[in-house]
Amino acid sequence: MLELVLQQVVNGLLVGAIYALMALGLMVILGILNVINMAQGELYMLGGYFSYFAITLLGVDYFTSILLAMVFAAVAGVAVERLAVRPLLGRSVFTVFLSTFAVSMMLQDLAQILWSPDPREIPTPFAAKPMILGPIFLTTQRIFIFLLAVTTVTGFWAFLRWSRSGMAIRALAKDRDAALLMGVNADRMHAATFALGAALAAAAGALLGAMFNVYPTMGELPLIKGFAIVIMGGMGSTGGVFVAGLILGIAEGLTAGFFSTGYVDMVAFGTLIIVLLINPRGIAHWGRSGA
Amino acid sequence: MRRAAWGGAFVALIALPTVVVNPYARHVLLVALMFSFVALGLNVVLGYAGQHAFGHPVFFGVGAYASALLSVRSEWPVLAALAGGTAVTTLIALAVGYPCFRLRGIYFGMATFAFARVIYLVAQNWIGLTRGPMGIPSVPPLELLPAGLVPGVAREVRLHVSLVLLLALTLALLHRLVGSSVGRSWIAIRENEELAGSLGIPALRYKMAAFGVGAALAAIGGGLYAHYVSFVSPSELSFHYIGFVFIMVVAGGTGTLIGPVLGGLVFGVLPEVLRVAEQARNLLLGGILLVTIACLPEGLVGLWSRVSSWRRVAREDAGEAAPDEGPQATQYVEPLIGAAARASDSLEMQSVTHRFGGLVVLSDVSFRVEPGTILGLIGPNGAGKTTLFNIISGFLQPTAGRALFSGVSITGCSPAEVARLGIVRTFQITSLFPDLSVEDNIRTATYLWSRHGLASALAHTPAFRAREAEIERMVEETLRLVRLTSSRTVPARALSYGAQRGLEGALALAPRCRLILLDEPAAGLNPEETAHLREVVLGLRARGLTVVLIEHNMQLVMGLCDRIVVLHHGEKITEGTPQEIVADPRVVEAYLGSDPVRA
Repeated sequence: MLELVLQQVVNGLLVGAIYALMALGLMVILGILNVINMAQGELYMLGGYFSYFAITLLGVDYFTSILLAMVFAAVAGVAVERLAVRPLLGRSVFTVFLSTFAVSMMLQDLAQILWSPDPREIPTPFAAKPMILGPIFLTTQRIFIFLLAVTTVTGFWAFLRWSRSGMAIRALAKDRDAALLMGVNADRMHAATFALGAALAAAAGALLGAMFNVYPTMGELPLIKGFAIVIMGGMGSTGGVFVAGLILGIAEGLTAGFFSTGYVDMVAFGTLIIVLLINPRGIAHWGRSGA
Repeated sequence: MRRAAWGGAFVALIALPTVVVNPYARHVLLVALMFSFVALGLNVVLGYAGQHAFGHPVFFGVGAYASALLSVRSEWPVLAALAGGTAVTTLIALAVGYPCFRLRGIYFGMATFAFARVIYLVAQNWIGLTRGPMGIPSVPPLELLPAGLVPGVAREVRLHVSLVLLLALTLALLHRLVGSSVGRSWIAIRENEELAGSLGIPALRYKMAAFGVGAALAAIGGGLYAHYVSFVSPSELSFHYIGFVFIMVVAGGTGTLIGPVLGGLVFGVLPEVLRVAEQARNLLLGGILLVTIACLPEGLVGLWSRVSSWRRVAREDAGEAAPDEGPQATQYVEPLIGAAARASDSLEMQSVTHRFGGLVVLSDVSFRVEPGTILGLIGPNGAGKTTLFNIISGFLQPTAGRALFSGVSITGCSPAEVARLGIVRTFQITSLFPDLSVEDNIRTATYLWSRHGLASALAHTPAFRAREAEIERMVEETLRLVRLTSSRTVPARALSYGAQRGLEGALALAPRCRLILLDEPAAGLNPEETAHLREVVLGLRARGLTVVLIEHNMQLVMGLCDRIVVLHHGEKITEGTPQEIVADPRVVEAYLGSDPVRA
């Protein structure tokens, strides 16, 4: 019994760390541009495919493939911003939401056409043999993926905290007008924000894709779960979002272990609804209220 | 002319099967018609009430399941199952909507979306009820017009005709609803929820009504669809359909009656047309949506209104109206004032205290406003005047103390409840319904006395028509009084600053309240406009209304007010007639500082 709990908690931590990556990407875009980027799930999917193709076509190792995936996805993210967000400057949050939704539809369809709906396995160099730590089974792949996720989150946090661009981004999120008056280049920062968000999504896609294969619709659920985490974790807090991601991962793991795998996805939405209903006022203060 | 266009479109739509003979094309058309109901439903929530309910189209699938289950499991006849399914879906929608409406903006949207996913997962996993992913097969077929009634007509044609008739009926009813106080309240909430509240419109109730009506329409579409294709599966509750309905509404034209139908027909048929490019269907649909959003912000119907607005501009240029002359302020005409103030209508502050965190904004403020008088509330910036208005009008609850109106405590009431008791306010920063025309602004503001039930609005009862005629008289009078008759069709956003303040005054008069709170009404007005304002306020008092005004224009305050209350740092430092106030050294001190030698 205890073994199963421990095993599920560990599995949940792994997945949760990656959900947190996804959520951070969404959060930075929502915080700076006030855009709910529905195409984030497809950037995640592209991350998975880019990593796959980097390994199979270019012959690079898995670690390099993740970096390449992040770079390519960042370019794709900037393209999404130019195509679907920038032309709608000054329109309602909802309009931009729909236009990124349109991009999401298009990218998903494009992936189906180009790469077929069949799932593909990212070849990783890790031994399939599980390691046994007391009662818990782990693969080196999972440990590696978890560490990478944690490293990326830390890197993201350090970037926001200490880099010049990170400071500009935080300034824009806190007080847009003041930041613009201080000479922050909004155009460039919007593109940079999308690039950053896309890179985070791509990292998540390449990591989770290595565990569960890559396929064109793989981004749908992580997108929605990412939003759930952003709202649960509190807009604007990297640490809060990371912890919320881990909690969601663990809760899902336990649900799968003790209840039913069919209801795993219910956990995110159930928790989201409960959090929203318990403290709507607090949540409304976390983000700029949209309308 | 307009009627003819509607009639023509209706006849063309109903006669379509004579041209469209291919059975597959007829099938596509039927499905598109069914989706028009769903799109109309979302449009009530999104377009009219302005609520971004991302998950709302899930009620299409819920309606499909409800009707299918009622007819398969409980063996209800198809029409009864449709009605029952619609009722069940509406109830589910109200249960979902109520908690979600505690949230606003995108958080509200995400909450409805989360509920939609939960509903999907329940349908997938509650095998005992829904058979899970296998879905419900052999749902009894749809028959709206029995074959015996119109012999010799093919089933698809009978269905088509009955669907078009049902759609026309739905549109007619929606048209009446939108034109009534219900629709005006929805639009008011969409445009400016805070102002709507201060005009007495209970936002939650109307949002719930929109959510329910929208869900009922979606359920009708879903139920029809389930019986028509005789199969329901969880995919009807999925992401895909939700996005699809949004495309129909937005690309068709949100907040218009015909837009969603147009969107439903075009985007219901389009995917089938695009079947030639089967694989790239979503690619093309997404592209069309993207282009529509960027190039046609008002949707497909925007095309038509653009053309007609050019024509209207051309017509109006011909006859320019003369500038408005306001009536003498003493010549009030009856519609403006409903119930004159009663002798008991006094407003009383009892030891009102308010703190924001550790900051004391109001401290133990007490005073009384006698009915039929004008009270001025003055004091340097930051004295707590607007906070006091917010407390009286229900936007803030005081930390301690209470406000009484006609001897009844109004502390703890919502802004809408306070308005219903007879108090209306204006805002320091001009607050209007920016995208509504001047006259629609005023019509909306009559809510408190012009509201009526759903049934009388739908049936256009004589009482309803009399009420609507009275609203029109009110609009005329108020327009004349604030001298905006010639710009009556202009959107409020496009008015000059002075005219906007005037319209704001009109919005305070239209509810026929007994006590009016004016927050810096003269700010930014030129001397001539200020003089007119003075006339209007004096006229209100002459008719027995009570006015409380915050104002920095001392000349206006001194000439207008019967009594003045002076606030400074949240405390009432003195109260009296204008003469007493001018002579009071504490007032001079508050405004200019004490002891000029030390300062």
